[in-house]
Amino acid sequence: MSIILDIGGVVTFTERYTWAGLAISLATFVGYWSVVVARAVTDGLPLVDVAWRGPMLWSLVLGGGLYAVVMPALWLRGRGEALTDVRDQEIERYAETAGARIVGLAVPAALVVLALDVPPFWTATVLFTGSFLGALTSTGVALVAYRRGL
Amino acid sequence: MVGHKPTRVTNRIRDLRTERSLTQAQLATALGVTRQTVIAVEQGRYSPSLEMAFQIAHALRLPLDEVFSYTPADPD
Repeated sequence: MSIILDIGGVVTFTERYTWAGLAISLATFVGYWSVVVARAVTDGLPLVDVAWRGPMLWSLVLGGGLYAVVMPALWLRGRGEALTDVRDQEIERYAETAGARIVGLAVPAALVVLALDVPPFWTATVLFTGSFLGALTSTGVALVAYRRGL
Repeated sequence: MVGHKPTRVTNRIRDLRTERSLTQAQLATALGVTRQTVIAVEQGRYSPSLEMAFQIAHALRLPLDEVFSYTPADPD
């Protein structure tokens, strides 16, 4: 990723931040599922019976914490230069709309899962996956817009 | 839609800027945007608002139509 971030110094603060957000989202999602699947395999349990609450809460706390740390770090790196402008705002708005559509699908899906009265693991999985896919879509759309144009 | 939108608006910002020995960073400062936005406008990857287009023309001390040009679509 550092190669991408250093391409001729033509990456804005918000684009760097978007790349960081993508990396954090991926790490959080992969980290959670790695722990849950590893527990299922080692304990010989189906996924639904694994102790998933701790890994999920930790992944949310660590992901949010990393995100909170990365922003000031990137801001410090780019201080002295214009950090964001109208183009960044237009890209961000467009990307957020795309991401919100995915998250918007996850909410009724979670309600359906709740109505089916299945174990809470599945409701949490739908919401967690929906949030992840929303973040993935949002950052993907933003990065394409930065590279290819809006 | 995100992507390389076909636009019929082209600009001569890069050439005009070079003639005036104006760097991308200097133009960006004059416009109050990031250098990356100036690069994107020069390369046709970002269509500036009408107000920003006027600001660019003003910074280059030229009328708008000497900086930007529009080629109408061929009716065929």
